Amino acid sequence: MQSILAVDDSASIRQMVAFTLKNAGYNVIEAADGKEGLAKARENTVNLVLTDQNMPLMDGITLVKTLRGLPMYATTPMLILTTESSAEMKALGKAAGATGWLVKPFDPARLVEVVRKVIGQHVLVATKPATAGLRGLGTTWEP
Amino acid sequence: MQGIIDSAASELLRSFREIQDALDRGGIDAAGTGADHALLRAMTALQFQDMTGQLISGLRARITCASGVLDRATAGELLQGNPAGEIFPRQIVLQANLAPGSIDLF
Repeated sequence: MQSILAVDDSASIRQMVAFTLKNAGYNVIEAADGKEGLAKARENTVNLVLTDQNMPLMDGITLVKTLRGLPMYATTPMLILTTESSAEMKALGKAAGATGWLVKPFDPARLVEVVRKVIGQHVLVATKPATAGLRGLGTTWEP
Repeated sequence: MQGIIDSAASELLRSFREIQDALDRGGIDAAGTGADHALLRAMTALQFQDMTGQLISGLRARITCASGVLDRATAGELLQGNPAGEIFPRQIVLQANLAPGSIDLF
């Protein structure tokens, strides 16, 4: 079973994300801030990281940037799920190595679609000596 | 703020009522897709409820800030910028006026 690390300081959002993704067949590991997320990512191997941006101790962009520095997470899909929607923040997320930027509130069905899409692309990239990485997809998701 | 809470609460109640009706008609298996959709709507409403909590925290911070501005003005301090902008209430946004957030893949 594929594992997803869900990081959000809001317990209710975290539980809703976990509920949605568990129902879609994923194992979900929860963390309440970036620092705890980083620790859990080191303890476990996860197939995708879904993180909030504004959190105590460590924000989502810093978490993504730190994880990208670890060889085991160099190509792992990382999505930022946040209420922040400014182009500047999205650019910072992209520069840090995020795979995508999702603005809250999330639609559960669309979240599952996006997760399946980016994990599927990661598997494709990981199993083939692909010339293109995950980033650079340059798409706006409109199912 | 009250509008967002009322809107989210109404949506939650409506969703849970639909799920209950579906269950009453034939149990969890028969509830099927209708219950699924109601559950997803309830989850979106719960997110708005959560965001409202964050907005209330933000509002408290604005009130504290406004109080500080008033204290400084009362003390005769020359205020810079637009202190009234810190106090002016923001426009209320209702759940019904909002769609789920955007998704960008890089």
